[in-house]
Amino acid sequence: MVTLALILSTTVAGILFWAGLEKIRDLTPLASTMHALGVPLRIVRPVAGLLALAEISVAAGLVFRPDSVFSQVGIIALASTFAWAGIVAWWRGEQIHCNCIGGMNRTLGLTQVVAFIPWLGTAAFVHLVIRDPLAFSAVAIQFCALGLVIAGVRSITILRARFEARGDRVCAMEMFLWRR
Amino acid sequence: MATLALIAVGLLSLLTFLLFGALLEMYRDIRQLRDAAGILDRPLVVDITSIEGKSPSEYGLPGTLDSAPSAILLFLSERCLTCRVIAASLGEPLPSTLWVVAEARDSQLADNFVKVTNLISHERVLLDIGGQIANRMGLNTSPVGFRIQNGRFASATTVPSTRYLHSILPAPLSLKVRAHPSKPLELSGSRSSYSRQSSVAHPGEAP
Repeated sequence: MVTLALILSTTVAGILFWAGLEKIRDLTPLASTMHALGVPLRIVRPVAGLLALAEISVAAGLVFRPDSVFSQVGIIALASTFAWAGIVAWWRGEQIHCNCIGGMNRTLGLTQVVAFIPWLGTAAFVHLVIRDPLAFSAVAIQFCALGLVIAGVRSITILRARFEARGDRVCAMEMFLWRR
Repeated sequence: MATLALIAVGLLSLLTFLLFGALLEMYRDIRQLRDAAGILDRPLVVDITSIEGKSPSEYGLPGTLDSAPSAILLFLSERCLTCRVIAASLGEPLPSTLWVVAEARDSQLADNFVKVTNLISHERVLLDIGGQIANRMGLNTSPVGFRIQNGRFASATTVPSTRYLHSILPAPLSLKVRAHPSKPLELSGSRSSYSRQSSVAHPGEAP
């Protein structure tokens, strides 16, 4: 049960790290989403930055202290925020880009509301099962593995993009007689 | 010490993830610039007046192509880098409407081409040693994709990328035979019956 709870908390941490870091790299899409949801323009970028930092903080909390109430409440707080955004978009009937996990072209809606249930379930399960802090060495291994997995998954996308770009460059050189 | 090293590796991995994201954005920017410059996936039309309407088997190609309702015959050359990129991208399963002819000056160069590109071995992937088929067709450009319709050469363009190749591959269509005969539709004054019956628009009519 503890293993399952650790897998769940690590998975959620991975998703939140990915989402938070993507947002930190470029706040503009998230700021655009927030403005569309009604956040005033003058504070939209700071709020977007705060949300990104919150995601990274909760992710770090889930890795280093999954037993902490703050980590678990953090999941629920973020899930509530996403669900609220989904409700607002659905209520208005507008096509508002999600930008939840960096640049994906999904729109906000009832999906975020439905997703609240597994988020809540994960927080509750982790709270019930993981009662004590983990050994620091185990946490370090977990964090290291998580970082490597996230970077590894992104590297696959990079390799595909590189292969495609190389093909386009080679073709442009041959077909249009461009020289380097 | 080892614990701190693991934490450092984790932090560096997350930093690498961030940098990969920036690199991905750059690749997308380059693609956008190529698209704006009009050099992305811009095929050149190949004049096939001398072979248009003729059957592929006349030029040494498999007779199966003579009965293909719709297919793409892709010519690649071992001398062309774009061809190598396209050949390397072909994998299992090979699209059912794609035929590939890899032309090489001799068998050693053909083997080298296959090895370098990891060209898949398939009944629809042919090696044209010495360019016999290409010479008969008068082809001296590659990569070129010939569109075959009803077993005859219809048109041809250059194939600038794998992406373009997949965009021109014809999707095989066939009739779907129902297992059980459907009940005859009853005409009534209800809107739903008329909307089901009029779902297929005839040419010239509004749907």
